[in-house]
Amino acid sequence: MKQFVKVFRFEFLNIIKSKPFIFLTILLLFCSTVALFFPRFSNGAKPPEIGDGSPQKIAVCDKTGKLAEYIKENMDSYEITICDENTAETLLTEKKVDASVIITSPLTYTYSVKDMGMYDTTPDIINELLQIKYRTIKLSEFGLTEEQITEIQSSVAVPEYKIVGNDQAQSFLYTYILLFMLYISVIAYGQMIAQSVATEKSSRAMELLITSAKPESLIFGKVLGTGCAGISQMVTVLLWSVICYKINAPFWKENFFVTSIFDMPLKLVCYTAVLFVLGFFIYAFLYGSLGSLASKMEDIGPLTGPLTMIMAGTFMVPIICISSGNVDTAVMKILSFIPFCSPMAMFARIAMSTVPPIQIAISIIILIASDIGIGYIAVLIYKRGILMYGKPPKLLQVLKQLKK
Amino acid sequence: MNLTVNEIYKSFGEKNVLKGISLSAQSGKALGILGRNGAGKTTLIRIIMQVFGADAGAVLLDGKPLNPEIVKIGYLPEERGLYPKQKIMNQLLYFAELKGIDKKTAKMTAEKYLSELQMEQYKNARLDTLSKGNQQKIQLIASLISNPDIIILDEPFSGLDPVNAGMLKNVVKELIKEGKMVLFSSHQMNYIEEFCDDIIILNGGRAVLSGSIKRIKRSYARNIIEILTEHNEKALSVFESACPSFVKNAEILDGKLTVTLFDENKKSDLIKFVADNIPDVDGINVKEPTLAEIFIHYTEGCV
Repeated sequence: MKQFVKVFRFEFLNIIKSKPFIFLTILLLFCSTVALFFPRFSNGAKPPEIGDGSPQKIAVCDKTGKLAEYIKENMDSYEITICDENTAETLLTEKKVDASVIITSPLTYTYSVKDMGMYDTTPDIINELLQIKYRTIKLSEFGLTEEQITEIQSSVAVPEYKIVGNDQAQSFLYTYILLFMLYISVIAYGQMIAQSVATEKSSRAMELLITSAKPESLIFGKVLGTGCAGISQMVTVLLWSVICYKINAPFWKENFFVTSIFDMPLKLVCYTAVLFVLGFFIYAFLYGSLGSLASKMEDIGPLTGPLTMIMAGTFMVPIICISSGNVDTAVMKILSFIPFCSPMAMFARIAMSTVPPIQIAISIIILIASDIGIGYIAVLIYKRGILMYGKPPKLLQVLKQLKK
Repeated sequence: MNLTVNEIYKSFGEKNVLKGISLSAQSGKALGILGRNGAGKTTLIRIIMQVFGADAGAVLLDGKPLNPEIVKIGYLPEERGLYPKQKIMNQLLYFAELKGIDKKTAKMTAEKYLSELQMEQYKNARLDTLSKGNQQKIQLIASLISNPDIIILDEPFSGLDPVNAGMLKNVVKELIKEGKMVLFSSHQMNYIEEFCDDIIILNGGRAVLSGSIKRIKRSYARNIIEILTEHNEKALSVFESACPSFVKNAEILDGKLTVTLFDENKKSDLIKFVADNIPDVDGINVKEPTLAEIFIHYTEGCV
């Protein structure tokens, strides 16, 4: 235990005192500060208005001959040119107008534009206008008065939303960001642990280490020391971001995306922390033990490649599922109990749907058990790996040896 | 203290590395462990240090199983290894702390050796900024930082210039004088002869020879005599013209007149003959095999 504490402290201090680590932490703090203070100096941070990016000048060609003037009257915020089809095309290619509308029948038209803006609502406006016009004509044919028609046309449904579980639209963004953070941190710190073990081997510092300390102390100290350094970096950056956000909260209140991240429910933050830490160490132990099989730094890539692939896979499935909005699929349910994938899958499910507490508990218990089990296997691999030099063994050979 | 290694067997997979090795070493003495590359020296050292266990056999200290957590063992590995990017003092203290030495004591020990080896000015330098010889000195300090009772030195003097080698030699001699037990592995036979009273030669996983160097040398036939004189040719012609009956052969070998006797008990007769017939003699001695010759004799052939 004493040795573990020594190794832990040595590894932890080594990392947090290292220049790249300090540089990266400062960079992240700087970026979050700049990003979160930005709206204070740029008149708030409104999300793009609906209608932004719509063309301003439109050429309209009306083949029905009845709708052009009606459109022009009702779209007075646009600069509308009424012309024939050829002129409309020429105007568009010569960039004298931003878009052209060629109406072919009361309900059909072609909308031509060079690049379709994300928030271009022009077609919606035209749809609406054409539909109203069509219905008005049809309804008056049925003998309704103008008043009756106006009443029918102006009646709209007024819904009121009550969300019992999670609002997926709100939770999507932070789920995505947190999944991504876990993925990046596991890969970055996992690789760091593997490299650190391999450096000790290649510099032969291992020769002294194994004769000075127990392998259990060495790998646990290294994995937990490096892991805690990484976690403390993330916590620092996140806490700082929260502080910056709180200072600037009034400037952010109109930005739905950002408020949704920082107004994440506290319960979810706790679940995230537990799942992330447990998931992180499963991979960290494996990276550490794989690093012990390398004799040179070049061996690390091929050795840790498969693990990184597994990690990428367990990242992709939840990402695809949350993007499709369908989080509670059978696949996700199964994945949320498999130790390698459960941190991401279970987290995505908790964040974006309603998961029975018993399922969360089971998933966490499985994770804790796997952390202990994988820690144990990692020690076995490490014990053998650190004494082996030369070509790294195949994974199969290692497993065979472990059986003995 | 008395370290006894009893009938150690060890195999890795199909490969039998040690096949029943026994040795014994005492405090205040150095034991030379010799063997060709791959003879099993490192494996033996690792078993003594309990990096891994033996398949059979025991490592005993004064009759009880050796416990490295109680009895400190210092190790200077043949493959030099420390953290290249770490400050010297930092890593020395780290290795001491891993062995359970408190920081203050470790710092005092480190400073003592740093000044003894004239390395004080480097204590806050990174290891990889040092020359090879200086790194070697740090490596020696790392092995002594826990003030061990048993010190295992694997090729401590390789790659050192004579001044640095001299400095390290003094430290090792001092340790032996202080009553430490030193296990010394080297291929440089002159160092072995300088430090060790006893040796063990490993070959193919077995101890092919062990005991005191003096006794081993005396066990060889003592019938070859070297006669030291400035006039080798003239002296040789004396033997050629009137060869005594007890002389089997006389020749000049490596610039020395070398006489082989039929019987090693006839040495006094030879001395008398030389005194009577060869006027200018500087000395007469029995030609003993060198340690290198003994080593080659026992380890030639399979490893």
